[in-house]
Amino acid sequence: MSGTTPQGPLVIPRSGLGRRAFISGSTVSIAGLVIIGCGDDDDEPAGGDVGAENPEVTIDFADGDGAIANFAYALEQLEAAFYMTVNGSLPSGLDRDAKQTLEDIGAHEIAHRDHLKAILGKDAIPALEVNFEEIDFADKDSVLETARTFEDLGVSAYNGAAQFLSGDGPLGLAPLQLAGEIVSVEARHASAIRTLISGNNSGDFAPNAFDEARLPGEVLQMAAPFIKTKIALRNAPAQAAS
Amino acid sequence: MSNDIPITDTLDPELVDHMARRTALRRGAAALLAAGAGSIGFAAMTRTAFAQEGAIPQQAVDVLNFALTLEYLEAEFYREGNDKDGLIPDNDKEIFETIGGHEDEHVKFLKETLGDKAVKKPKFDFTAGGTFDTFENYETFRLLAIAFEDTGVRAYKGQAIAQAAKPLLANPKLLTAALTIHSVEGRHAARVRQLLGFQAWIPMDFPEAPAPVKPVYATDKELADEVPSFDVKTTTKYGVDVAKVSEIKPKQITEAYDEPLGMDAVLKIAGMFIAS
Repeated sequence: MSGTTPQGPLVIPRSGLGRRAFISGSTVSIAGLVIIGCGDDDDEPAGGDVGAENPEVTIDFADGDGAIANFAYALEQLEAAFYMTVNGSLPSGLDRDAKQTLEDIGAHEIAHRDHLKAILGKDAIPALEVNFEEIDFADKDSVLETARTFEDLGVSAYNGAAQFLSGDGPLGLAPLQLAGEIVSVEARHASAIRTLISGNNSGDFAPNAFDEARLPGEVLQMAAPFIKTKIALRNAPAQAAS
Repeated sequence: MSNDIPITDTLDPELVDHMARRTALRRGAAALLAAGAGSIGFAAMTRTAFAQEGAIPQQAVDVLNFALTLEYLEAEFYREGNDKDGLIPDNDKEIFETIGGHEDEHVKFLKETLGDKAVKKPKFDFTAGGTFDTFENYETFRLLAIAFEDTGVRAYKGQAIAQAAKPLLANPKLLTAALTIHSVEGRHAARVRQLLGFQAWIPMDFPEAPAPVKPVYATDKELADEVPSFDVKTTTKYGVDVAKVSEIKPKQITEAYDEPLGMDAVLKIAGMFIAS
């Protein structure tokens, strides 16, 4: 776990919640979530202890590869829950291809979720409760924008977490391999969703030549508005490994 | 998918296989391994990921030169395609200009990272010796774009596992940089697959894949031998049969994972298009 820099109890006020761009200033009800740690708007590292006070679920990165798998499992739970809700009652205005795309993506996320849970076994964090109050599931644009957010976030989360895998745990390189096998499928999802939003002629499916790589603490801050269960990260890497 | 892909009808799979094994391939591989030994400084780094002084171990140099060769191939393929009058319809121009621009940036980044250890750009022949009507037929062009992008996705991953991962894990900044390219290739792959009516993700062993691009989707048996946890397009992953722990259809389970492809298998594919 090189690069792990415990920051101590950096409690910041509720106003520091999450990323501005993510919730765009709306009043978000986030059951009991207080960010401990830091906002990214002032370039402070999103490491150390990040997340809720009195958490219901704690992921301690001192635990090594298992913590990263649990972190991925949390994100896959979020994505799977989102698409299950979407596919349970699709908004109007989606053509057949779009519906198939959403169904496939939802299935992939469920497979990822169930797979990670099975791999983690007794070490798996519990099922998370989600908070989708801010999503209008009857509105195509709200659904697709949220899907884009989740997929781009997922890509950046795997890209940013892989560097902290040890490669020499009991599973050897398998966790890195698995992360690699999943992340490019998340990228395919992101591409397909972006095309649904921007249209078939657009280059928006891949907005940059290099995707983002986000640290776990930053990812949690962005995902937290959608998760009711109070999650905390302990010993989260504060900077890219070196 | 589309009903007619002209080159599938005209091309003998054995011929393709033969092309892949001809000497051009070996020259490509030799060029790849021609990178000198030793370490380099990071003086020319443009991206913050490399804003440190340090040395790249030889094994990582090999991996990066392998990636650079593929990026050269992709970049030149799109440059020629984008420059060819009448090949790409107006509706799709932005797609290929976007992708081509990214491949140019990947080339630039890898060249700067490798400095004087960077391999030279090979001479490409995207007709593979007259086999493909690549820049005359938009369907062929799209098909090769799919093959190159899906190969790229699998190739980067292939270098993130097996022995190659050790030097990369020991150089987390390199690993992360490679991953941030890898996922962009995944975005490209999804889009170009859709342009021929395929799903954005790869099901099972992709039986619809036309013969010339079959190797892109084949099981890499050598890699599978080297990496015990590696299964290609089965529902069993890392000792867990996902079909047993999830309610999802087997086809969709296999779509949910992109498998790696080792260096030899990738060079066999890329070698078809390396003239010298």
